[in-house]
Amino acid sequence: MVGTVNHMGRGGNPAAIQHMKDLASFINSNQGKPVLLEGQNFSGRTALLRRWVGEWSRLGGRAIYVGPSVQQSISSLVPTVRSELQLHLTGSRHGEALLHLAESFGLGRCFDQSPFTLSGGEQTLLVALCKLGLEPALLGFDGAMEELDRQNAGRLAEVFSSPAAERAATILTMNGYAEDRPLDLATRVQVSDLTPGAGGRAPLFDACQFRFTAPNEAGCLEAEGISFSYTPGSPVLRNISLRLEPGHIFSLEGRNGAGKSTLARILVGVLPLQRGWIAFNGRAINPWKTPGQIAVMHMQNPDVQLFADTVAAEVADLPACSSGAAASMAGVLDMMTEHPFDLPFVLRKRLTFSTVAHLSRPWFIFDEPTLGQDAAACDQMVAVLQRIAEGGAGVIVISHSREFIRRVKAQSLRLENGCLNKPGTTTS
Amino acid sequence: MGRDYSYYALCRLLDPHVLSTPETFKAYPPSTAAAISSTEPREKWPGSTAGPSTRAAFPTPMATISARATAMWPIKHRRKSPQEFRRYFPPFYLRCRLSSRRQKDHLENAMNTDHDLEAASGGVALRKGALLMATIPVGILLNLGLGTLVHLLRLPLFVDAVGTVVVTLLVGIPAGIATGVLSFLLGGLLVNPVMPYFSGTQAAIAIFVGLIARGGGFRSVPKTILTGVLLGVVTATVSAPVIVKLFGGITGSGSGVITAFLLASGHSVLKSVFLTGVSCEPVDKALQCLLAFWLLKSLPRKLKDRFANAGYLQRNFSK
Amino acid sequence: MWFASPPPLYRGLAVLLALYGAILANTVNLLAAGLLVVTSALWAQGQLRTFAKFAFTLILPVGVGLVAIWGFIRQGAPGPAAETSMRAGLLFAAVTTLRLALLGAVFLAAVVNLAPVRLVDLLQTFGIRRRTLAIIVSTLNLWPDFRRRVEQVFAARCARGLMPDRRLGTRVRQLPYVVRTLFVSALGQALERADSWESSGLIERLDDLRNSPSTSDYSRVAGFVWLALSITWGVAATLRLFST
Repeated sequence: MVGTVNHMGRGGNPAAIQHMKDLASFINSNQGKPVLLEGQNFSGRTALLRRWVGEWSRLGGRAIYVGPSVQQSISSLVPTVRSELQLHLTGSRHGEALLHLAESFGLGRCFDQSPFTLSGGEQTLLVALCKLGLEPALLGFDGAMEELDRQNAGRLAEVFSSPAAERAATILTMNGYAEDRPLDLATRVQVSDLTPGAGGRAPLFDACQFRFTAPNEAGCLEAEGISFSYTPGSPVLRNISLRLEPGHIFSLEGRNGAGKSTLARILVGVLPLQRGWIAFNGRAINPWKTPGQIAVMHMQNPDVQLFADTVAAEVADLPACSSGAAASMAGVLDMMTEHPFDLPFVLRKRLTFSTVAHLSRPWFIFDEPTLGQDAAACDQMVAVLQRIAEGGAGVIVISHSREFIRRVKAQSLRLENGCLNKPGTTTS
Repeated sequence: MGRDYSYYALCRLLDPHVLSTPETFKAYPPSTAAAISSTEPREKWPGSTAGPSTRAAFPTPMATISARATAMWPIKHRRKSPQEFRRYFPPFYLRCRLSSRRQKDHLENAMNTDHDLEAASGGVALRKGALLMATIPVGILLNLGLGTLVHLLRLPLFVDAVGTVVVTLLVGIPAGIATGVLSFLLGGLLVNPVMPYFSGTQAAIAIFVGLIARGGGFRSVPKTILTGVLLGVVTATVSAPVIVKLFGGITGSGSGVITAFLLASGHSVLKSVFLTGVSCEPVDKALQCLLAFWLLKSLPRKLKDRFANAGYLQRNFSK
Repeated sequence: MWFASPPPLYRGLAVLLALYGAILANTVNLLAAGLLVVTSALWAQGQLRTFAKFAFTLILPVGVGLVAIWGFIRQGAPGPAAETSMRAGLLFAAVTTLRLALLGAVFLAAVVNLAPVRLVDLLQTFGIRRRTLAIIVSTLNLWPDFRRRVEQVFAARCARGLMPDRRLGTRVRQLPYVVRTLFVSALGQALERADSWESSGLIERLDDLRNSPSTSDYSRVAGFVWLALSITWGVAATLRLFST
């Protein structure tokens, strides 16, 4: 069932109260089932969730907000996954059930590891189980579900439909394409913001003016026999070989933790080449010695990629004509004196994406560029990637959004158990 | 309508069995309706069907202190911040502080609950306990991380007090002392077992930086360098006795050469160590103060706002 | 090893007495005997390699320096009342080196043999609660996360092409930017986390969380032995001080 609620204005206007009443009654009538708030970026969903959580906590109830980066919600008060579960689930009515769920998801073999060593999907599941164990009245999951693959998304649905979640009002937020939404997860509610003039227009991600600067030398990227392991004895990548032609877009696919980011980092030069060789345009290179020269990468977490005091300084190290273009593409032209960390998550992601897209290199790697972006922004990103490929460079994109991969017409490279399947045409 | 209604909308979610329509909410006796919108925990609400909370019940903030405080504290000052209260009636505040830190936090919480909805909606609570719990580990890790890094790079510096300076400027002197002492205790565990014996130096750094910052010693780059130089002198003074007693004057770092030279020319050991310190430490500490200054200048506005009521940021870094 | 882990209270008292004695003791024999006892405790705990590394990297240079300065250059012990002879200088160097080694070894023996899981128990027995407990425990748990974050920021600089090669100079030039990004993102995340601790009531839960009381891991006999040894040591040091 999909309902439509119009959210008009913020603050104490009668319209906002109207909205809260409608949404509250909707959530009430759906008690026990999570509610998924859909809408464009800047439609006010995060503000609404945070406001509710804040007010609820002020009134003395228990309300929990989990933001887009799940790492922040791991408590870090205890060293192992087992003690994290103990900390949250002791005294809960559904503690046993949640613990059984954890074990059935395969978290049992990670019980003695630090929670920070788990993969993103496992961390999301752990956080969901723990927060439900605290028996909150309101649980808000803001965009924390976008990096989950199919299996983990199904597991999360199982968690939210378990008896432990019956008394909690679970509100989820998701962005991206509608085709990627897990249909049976939650009841969907469309929220749109009709605020003429209140707070200004929402910043748009606009790729019409994007001009790609062709690199000096474009060439084919080959690799043979790449193996890598973080700890000796447990290889993450086994004997990977590939040959990627420029001018095309490739997508690295695989489950959470399959080694996609690892391969990307080796190609860029962030991780050393333990075994195998890499060649660019026929000559052997070692990206570890000169990182970021043949291939640049846009990483998943924008917070580790912002290095300056102001947005202007952030785009200043691009070539002169591109810095203004990068800022206008990300929609931050009127925020040039703001600190990058003052921008919301969506804009930080767009800014880092723009900065990388305006560089001039033979190969580009984008790791989850669509996190937190709504469908319109995703389409613009598709246009950007296609224009980069037309300009003669090669693009590798890592994304869990099947719709995005389909629209960008990428050739898929599937990583399973550290081995690469042969490149073929995209699967729909 | 208005404020009441938003509470009603939330209350419906919290306890749908009790308050199912706006009429039932309005029909509620005013005292119980007020109790619902107070800061009482949910379990204490009339008619609540929730089970006992796992949280221990704290005494309501004003009950323990308020009788005497409100009697002696003029009404026009009642809405001011905890800092104002402290300044206005210091002896009473001190007595409150000695009685229980928990009560003091509750007092501050009670005074801060008067902030408006917008502040609450951001989820940003300016509670001092949360600031301490957040900033001190970051300060400790900054101390240890930078110290280890500089040691690995074999530079002739000891950049190991940046975290202490930053935390003192952000939160205050006690937090800075805690950061310095804890970081050297943990450093003894992780890095070098003799570090804990130098915790006194860190405490002195925190106290000195706090006192100087109160007078605005970090307002500009030249002032920061001067502060760093003075800090170096203070550090040399405080750590000289420890070095003499523990190390006999030689710490095994490059500055031992200077000490050797001074000792060979016949000065007493305490004087040689002090002079060595005075020649090496000011440069190191000036560098650390500059680094701290630069880090705090680059804080985003949202983080600076959170520290507005604590520490010395307002006096030194507000534009 | 039964000798390795006395209960925390006995351990704390023994350590304080050992420190008191170490600061007071002035003769080579006494300090050497104390060092021998503490080294055997370290051997029982399996920490001998850590101590050897510390001795080699820190104590040895200091010892060499002390011998050079007090033994050969100054040829005497410090202080106006001391005699000036090479022997006195060498003796002072030996005493100071031994004392340094002893202080380091005592600290190692006292705290190193603690698994992080039991750290919470240990701190709770010392009466540390709530916020202080949260601060100490979260620092230890965040250390690997911090390291990972440093790697990520360095990786991001490489991946953007801002670190074009791996020379030392280039890497040092990255440092200010890395530290700034690290600090700002870590501080923001820490504040959010602390807010969520307070609102979820996790601090109180940490107090209530008790692992199964692992008293079997602590040996009271070891505690008595440690305490007895350190009392002897403290008394001996005091007597020696007053007899000379």
